[in-house]
Amino acid sequence: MTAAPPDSRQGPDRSVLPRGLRRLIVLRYRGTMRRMLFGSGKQRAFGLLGLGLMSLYLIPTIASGRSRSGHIPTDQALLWLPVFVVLIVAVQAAFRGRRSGFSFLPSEIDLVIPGPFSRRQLLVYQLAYQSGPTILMAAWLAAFVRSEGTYLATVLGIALTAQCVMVGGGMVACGAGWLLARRGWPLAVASASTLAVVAWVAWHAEDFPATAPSLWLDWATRVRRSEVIEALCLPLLAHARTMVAASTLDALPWAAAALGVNAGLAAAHLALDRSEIESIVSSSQKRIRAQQAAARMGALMVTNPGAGSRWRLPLPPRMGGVGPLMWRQWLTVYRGLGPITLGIVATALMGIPAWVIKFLPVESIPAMLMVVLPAVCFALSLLTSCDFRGDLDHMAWLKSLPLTPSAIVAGQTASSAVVIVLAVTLAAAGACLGSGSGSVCLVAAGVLAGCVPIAAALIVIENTVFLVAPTRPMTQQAAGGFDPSRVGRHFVVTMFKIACIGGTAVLAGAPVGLILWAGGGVVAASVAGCGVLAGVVGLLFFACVRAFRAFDVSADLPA
Amino acid sequence: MTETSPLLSVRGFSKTYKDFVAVRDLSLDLHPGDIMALVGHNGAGKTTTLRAVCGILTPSAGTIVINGHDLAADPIAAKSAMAYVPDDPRLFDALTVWEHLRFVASAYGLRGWEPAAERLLEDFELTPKRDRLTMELSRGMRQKVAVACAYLHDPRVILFDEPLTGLDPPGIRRLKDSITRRAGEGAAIVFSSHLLGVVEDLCTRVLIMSRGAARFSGTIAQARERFAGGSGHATLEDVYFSATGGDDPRDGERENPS
Repeated sequence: MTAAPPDSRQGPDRSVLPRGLRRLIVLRYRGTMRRMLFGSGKQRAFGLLGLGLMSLYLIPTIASGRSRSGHIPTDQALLWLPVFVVLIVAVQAAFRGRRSGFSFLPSEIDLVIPGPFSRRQLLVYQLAYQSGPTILMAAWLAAFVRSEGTYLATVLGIALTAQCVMVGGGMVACGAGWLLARRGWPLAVASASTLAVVAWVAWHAEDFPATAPSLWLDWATRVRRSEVIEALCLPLLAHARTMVAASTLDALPWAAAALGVNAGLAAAHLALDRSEIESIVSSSQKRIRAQQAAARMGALMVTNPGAGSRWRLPLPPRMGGVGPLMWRQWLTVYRGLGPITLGIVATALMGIPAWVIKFLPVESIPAMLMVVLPAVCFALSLLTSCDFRGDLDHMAWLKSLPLTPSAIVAGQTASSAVVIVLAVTLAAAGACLGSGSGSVCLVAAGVLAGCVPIAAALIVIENTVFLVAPTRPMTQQAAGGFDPSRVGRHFVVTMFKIACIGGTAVLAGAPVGLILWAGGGVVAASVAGCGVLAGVVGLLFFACVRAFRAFDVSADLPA
Repeated sequence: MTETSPLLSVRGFSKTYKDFVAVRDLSLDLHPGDIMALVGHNGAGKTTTLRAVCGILTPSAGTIVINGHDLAADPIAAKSAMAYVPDDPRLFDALTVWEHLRFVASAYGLRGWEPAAERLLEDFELTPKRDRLTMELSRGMRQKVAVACAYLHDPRVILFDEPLTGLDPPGIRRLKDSITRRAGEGAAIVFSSHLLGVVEDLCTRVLIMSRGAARFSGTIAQARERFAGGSGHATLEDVYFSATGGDDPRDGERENPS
């Protein structure tokens, strides 16, 4: 058994972007599109729905030109967009520290890095591959941006600005690292001092209206127009001019200039980025592990390297197996966030409503609570996934447990629902404390009671849809970061949730209204309403149990 | 490079992570036809060595020369002569099996590669999976795809990290046959494995690593001579435990940060 070698081979390709890597970029884009359009039946259905929804918004926008009402005036865009870019670049560079801005997927680590490519070629490949997703993101965002430019000009402007932020942030971070490596802290201190002097000059060049907050915008505008800031923003004017160009033809020269600026930044980034492939691989692996942990535990959860096995939680009662399942999920959340972060989150959940509510008239608080607390439930149901959604790789294990499907579903879904109820309880308590009003506390308690079935229903719906059409979070497969099937999925789930909540409200409200209208007591009406709510949650729970029973471990595990 | 020059030459290779020494002062030479087993406890430094030879890790000290090209000075030429098969290959999920081969052919500048690729697919029973996405394949199949990709450009040095994991018995036999054949055709193979029976059956040389250092490097007969008093009845397992002293590995001491 042997394969005859290929006829011949060309010499090593030492071009900036070798043909092998160019080919890989094309193959990856094609593969992503193919999977999107011709993937599994459910994924294809969600993908087509997502594409349809996006087209419904994009096509009329592009065809008719965007609404000019409420647009950002060109002079304001030209004034503030460069400042915005500079700030984003600075923040990005500060958070990145001396880590490289480049990142590799596991498949790239195994297949591409051992290939016949130099470090520089691999980094150029990364930059080139990222351009595609940037353009797609720009095409989508441009439909929402209200500038005076045409749609195409706005797409170009956004894409070039995003690219500028990407390479600019990397260049600044690497430049700081390069300086530190060569001249050490004395140079860093000198640079920081220079920056401080420049900032001081810019600050004092104008009269700071310390006592007249209404004049801050005027003051900021004058500072923006000072020579120092003008010079700093000058290279970025081309990006802003592209975005607000009156016609696509007018945008082209500015786009060329912006592209030149980006190319210069990219060249400087590549020259300054001394990261060895090893350190990029290492930081990529850490990033992937963090993303996977966040995907397992929900978008709010991040890996907490400090939290080890010493953080413990007591095991709740067994309750037919529900207790240990909930305990496992809570332990994951607890160790994922860590007690310090949990403390900060809890304080914020209580403190922010307590602070905000002081600025509201007391009579408007009950209505606000009735809207905000269920909305918090809704948002958290998307962000918390310590249930089946974070356990796709453990489905076989869950199926093998000697527990009834009802117990497994209860254990899995109750963990997320309890987390949401706890969060809403803290927010309600904060509102209550902030207002200092007994009637507000009473309303908050009532809304909180209603939030329990709402949280349960939302989590059960999320899990039922997930079990019927499972999907993996976008970590390894961040292939372009563009996936219409997710848009379609979110649309279906959101519509289903709204229909369920709306339907439940009508179903629960009808007997309450009838009993009150017939002269029955408030207690009787509340009991009837709660009974209907419990019935709806029970029906949804039953559907989730059916979905779990039907889940095929051998077929329903998308990689 | 002369006829006697090694295809793979590692001199004084060390890899440290802050205060942790993963590999210490490792040297080895591999000539055409050599199949060298890399054996050792978990954490002994095998994967670190392989990942450094294929350019994923940068050595803290030492040089690595592949087919006459210094990996640090001319990585493109050095890596052109080498292929690496990781223990659990992670392929591009959105690409088909054939597209993986197409990428490899393009990356290594191959012309007229299609017949060779077709034969490799046939050899590894991948022909029916030719146009399937790799995300749809079992682990064993993905392993075969990685091996086919590694073989396509006819490398002079091939590095296998635990290549038999996930393969079925026919797959294991095919891979062993192909390794023997490639070595017979002049390639140098490095084969990391814990399956000492397979190593004994397949390899011509063995490098026993323990605690990041080479305890022995030579032919299996020399290993028997040194650690089992030349007893022809001693298995490689006996030799291995004698060489490492059955010492407890560094598992748990500190995880390799790579």
